[in-house]
Amino acid sequence: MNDAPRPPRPVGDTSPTADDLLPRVARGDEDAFGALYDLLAPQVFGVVCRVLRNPSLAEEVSQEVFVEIWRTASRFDPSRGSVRTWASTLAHRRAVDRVRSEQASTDRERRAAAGDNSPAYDQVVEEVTASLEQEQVRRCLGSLTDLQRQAVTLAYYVGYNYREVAEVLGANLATVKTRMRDGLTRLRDCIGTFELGAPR
Amino acid sequence: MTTTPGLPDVPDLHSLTAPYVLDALPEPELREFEAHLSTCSSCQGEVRELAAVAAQLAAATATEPPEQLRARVLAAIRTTGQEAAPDTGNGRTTVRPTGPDGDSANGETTNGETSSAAESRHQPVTHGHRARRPRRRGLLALAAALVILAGVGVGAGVVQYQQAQQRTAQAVQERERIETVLAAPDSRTVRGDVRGGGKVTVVVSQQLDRAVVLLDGMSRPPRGRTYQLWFISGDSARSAGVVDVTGSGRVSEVLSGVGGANAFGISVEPQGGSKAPTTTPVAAVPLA
Repeated sequence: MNDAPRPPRPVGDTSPTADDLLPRVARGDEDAFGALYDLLAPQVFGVVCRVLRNPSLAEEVSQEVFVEIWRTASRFDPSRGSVRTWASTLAHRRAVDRVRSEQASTDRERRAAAGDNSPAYDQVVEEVTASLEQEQVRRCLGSLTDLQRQAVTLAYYVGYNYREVAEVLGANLATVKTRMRDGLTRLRDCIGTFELGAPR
Repeated sequence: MTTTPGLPDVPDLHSLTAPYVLDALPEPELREFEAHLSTCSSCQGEVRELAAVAAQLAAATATEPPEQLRARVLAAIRTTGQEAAPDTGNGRTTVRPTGPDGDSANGETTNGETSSAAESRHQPVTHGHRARRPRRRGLLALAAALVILAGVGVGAGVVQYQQAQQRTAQAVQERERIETVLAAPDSRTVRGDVRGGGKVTVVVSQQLDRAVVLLDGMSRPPRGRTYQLWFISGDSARSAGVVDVTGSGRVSEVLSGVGGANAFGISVEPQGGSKAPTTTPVAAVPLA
């Protein structure tokens, strides 16, 4: 089970987890869905909001994510990962799709142009990292090399594809792919040593 | 880390696992990688592992959502069907009956019908059995249903071979037109209630500039009146034609010329239609 660690639960807490709730949701149980929403909403809304940087749009996209969770719950396969991972995958995917379709290309170009003087970039990455709620993830991101951190951050939190990342960082594509992979692996090893609390 | 020496033009698909879980693969690499992923079990393991790390990056952004989102989401799922599990999956959905909701302006649901990109990544790992397949089945079933609703190609008692052939060709064509919209990468589905009974479903692709409109459970308009469809942009409405509602109360149309409209509306107009809506729309759903 290499999935994200389950959030620890206080002793005696028997409230169902996202993984417990999903099969009930798949059977059309609206109460279970409400409970699942409560568990996942901060994470879904958080990541969508981070990528879109527009709370009202993030609300709309988060709603789409939850409707999709409801609609496709029966297709979820627990052998492939946790419900929480699935939900953040859906949320991030949708947010990035939306950012790419909404964002006027001029805006993207302007921001890409800003990458010519890399300090602006470092700043974006630093700001994003600093704004993260979870100290462990912040700390683990901080333990990456600059290029690893920039590659992961610009892709995941800013919504750049890896070619754009290569462009703004002035690195070649193979390097960026490698840094992303190394960055994620290192994060995994770093975060894996912590038991992350549930985002509440 | 594998490389493909001597083949500079062949993207080394295996090296794309990290960009993939970061949603950082542009097309067509995304498609190529997903095709590769379905047959590469070591990639699947890696994607699964890295997706869990990406989920931690998401968790680190956790933010309490606005209060009202919960009520909206719960209202939305009440008007959204659920897909059958893959093993029984024929793409049919069962939509539970919904409570009365007279106010379509607030009652419409932005359904989470997905762009194929999001849908195909239903889970970050595949074992050769992509979510795209049920999706495809769903599309086919929906397209077929729409064609049946449209009354094309399923004429009972068609006796003449030629006529039947023509109808089949028409049905195929109609289905293709519908499917094209459903399969568009940017297609979105929105549903809403029609005042006075009935439901409207619109699948819109701004890219293709087309929309598939399905009306169901519509009551006939008053004598001498007709339903007229509108694409609404800001405060102006462009006619998308008039529709006849027959006894079945079902209508399906493929409309072109969405023109970036941000809403779709239906109003009751004098026979033959109007230049602009003359009555309060009986339905309005947001398209953007």
